Amino acid sequence: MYGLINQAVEDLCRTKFGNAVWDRIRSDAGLPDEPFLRMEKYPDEITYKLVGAACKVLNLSAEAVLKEFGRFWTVYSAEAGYGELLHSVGRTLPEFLKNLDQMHTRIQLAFTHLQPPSFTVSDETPNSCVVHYYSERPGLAPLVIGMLEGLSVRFRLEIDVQHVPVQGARPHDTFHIRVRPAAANKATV
Amino acid sequence: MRHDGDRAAGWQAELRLLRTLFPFYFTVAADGRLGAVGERWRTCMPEIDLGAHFDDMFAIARPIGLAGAADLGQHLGDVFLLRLRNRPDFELRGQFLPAGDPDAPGTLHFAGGPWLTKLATMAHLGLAMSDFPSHDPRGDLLVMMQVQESQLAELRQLTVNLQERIRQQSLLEGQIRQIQKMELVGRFAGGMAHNFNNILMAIRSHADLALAELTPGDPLHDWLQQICTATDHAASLTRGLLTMSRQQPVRIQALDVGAEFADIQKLVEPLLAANVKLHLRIASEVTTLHADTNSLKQIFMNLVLNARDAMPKGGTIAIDVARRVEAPPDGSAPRAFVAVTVTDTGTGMDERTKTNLFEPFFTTKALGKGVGLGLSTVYGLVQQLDGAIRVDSELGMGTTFQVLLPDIAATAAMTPARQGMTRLTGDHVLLVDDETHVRRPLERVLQNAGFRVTSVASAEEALSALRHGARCQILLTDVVMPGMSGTELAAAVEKEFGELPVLFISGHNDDSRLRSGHLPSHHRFLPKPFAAEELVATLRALLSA
Repeated sequence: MYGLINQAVEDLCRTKFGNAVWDRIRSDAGLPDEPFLRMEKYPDEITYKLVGAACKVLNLSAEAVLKEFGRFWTVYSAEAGYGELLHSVGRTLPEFLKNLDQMHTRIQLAFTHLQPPSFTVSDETPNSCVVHYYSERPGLAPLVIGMLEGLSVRFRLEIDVQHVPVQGARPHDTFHIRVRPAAANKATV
Repeated sequence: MRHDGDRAAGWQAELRLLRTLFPFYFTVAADGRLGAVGERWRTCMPEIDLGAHFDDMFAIARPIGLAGAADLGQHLGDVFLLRLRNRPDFELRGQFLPAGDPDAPGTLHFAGGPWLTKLATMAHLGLAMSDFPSHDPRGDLLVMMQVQESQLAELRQLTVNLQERIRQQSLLEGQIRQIQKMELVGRFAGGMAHNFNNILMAIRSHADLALAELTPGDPLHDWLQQICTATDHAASLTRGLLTMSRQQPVRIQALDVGAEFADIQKLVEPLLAANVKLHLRIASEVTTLHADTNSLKQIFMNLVLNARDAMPKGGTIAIDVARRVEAPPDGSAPRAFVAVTVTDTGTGMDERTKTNLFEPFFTTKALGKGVGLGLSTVYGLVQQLDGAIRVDSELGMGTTFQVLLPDIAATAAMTPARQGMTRLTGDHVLLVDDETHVRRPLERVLQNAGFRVTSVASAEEALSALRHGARCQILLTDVVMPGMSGTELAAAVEKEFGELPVLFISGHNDDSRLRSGHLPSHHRFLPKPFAAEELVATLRALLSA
């Protein structure tokens, strides 16, 4: 994965748990005390090690850590200089989700080794939709839930997300999003 | 009819294709009025008037000099930049092409889209990435530009970080240069002090001799007294120089352990956070410690503050003072020590830290929080006190420093009396000093005080005198001399002739053993310059010991 992701993990740990905790996580993951470079390609193993060490040091499940990271990612990527890009992806949550593939494809021009997941949207109603998530990397569904929750904050929505794995010819994960009635009057999906 | 139907169907297909490819597509009829428009016009600008005239809607920014719709047909295929009249920030870039509308000959298509050079303006204009279909390279370009901007921002940040590291590095190098410079200055000052002390010694000795010849009522007596006072004042200045060069002798004296550590406790407690507790325990058998009070304070203040820094979340620091007999780390014979342990409940140290702990400039603290000289200073001070220091630490388990300081009284009690010592007889002083202007007045001072004196200018001459039958009761020797030093002479004399009381005199206290004050009971050190009475009193004290 690109250094940007590892940088985000580091930033999350430092911001939320302090520098000492990050140092322990980094050390536990066997990584040197060196900054990650955003555009540098790192082996996926490093990110998985970081998540594993974070689980151990923070005494949290992998699911909890990934969810937290997903929530943080939507904020971090904007702060890391991609705010305008995120802004341009969509003005509503479904539009954003529908344009993610196009954004990833365009970003691949710069991040040439990017292996982005794929998102599609179906069953769209004013207060609900179903997000289909396809990825070559297993086990990251909790991260998507966190990301969707983070995006809901961005679009000022209160949502419930239900994860439903889909089997069949093209197995993937689906996320059933429903806007909570109390918030539905603020904005629609 | 069928032919017309095909043309109409073809036109509709053309329209659908253009609307898909160019969300901001529109047509301009031959009379200049707007015809069909793409879907995005309706969502982005609901106020758009389909019957409006092109010239009322758009200003042509490029090509330059075109009047309006009437000129469009003359510039088919040229790149146009159109500006919406009611929204000057909204520009469209594209070209006009002839349309195949069978019902409206002369109609032109506008095949183009919003013209942006910054992604930031996209949201501001109410646009989104979807307004740039995948065939449109402008979308790619905008994303690439965003990535490039982000990369530039990262590079700028990395440059700032690098500059900061270089600044810190240069700061450290400056500190090292400063320390090296101070060492040079110290050496220079020490050397100067040595030479000045010898000169002052000569002045003072001659003045003392002259004073001894005069009665207090003599007018010269008062002038000579003034010379002595001025010499003492000059001597205090050279002491200042020696302090700066860290060559000032430590004042080893019997210290009250309870009082000393109570003082240290009073000094450090205000520097500890509320969540750090300090406990002091002194074993009842330890009442006296032979050390230099300032060094002692510096050692334990450093250790306690180091312990404090190792406990950012608070904890306990314990100082325990006890007596121990053990072999020092240098492997020499076991001896008695006053052992002072400073234990904390802090973060502890890893192996690398323990290995480098006492090295100058080794620090685990953040830049600017410490230069790494605290523990190396502690190490130096402990060495100067003829002691030893040990550390025991594990990550997460806290740290214990143990400082072993010589327990002089207990060691003396342990040391058996030496046998076969040959004592030379007679009140005879063997005076050794390479500086004639120092040696001569000293001879007179000693003779006036009733001593017999053998006076020589070097250690080699002194040994020769002894080998040729000189019988001296005491050796009075300068320390720094060409050839064999005073301390080497004392050792050679002791080896060849047995134990002999020795009084070392020097204006340059660069011998660590002399500076530490840990001399055998039959050795003393007297820094130059000194008064005649002080010299005589010290010699007599040594002889009667």
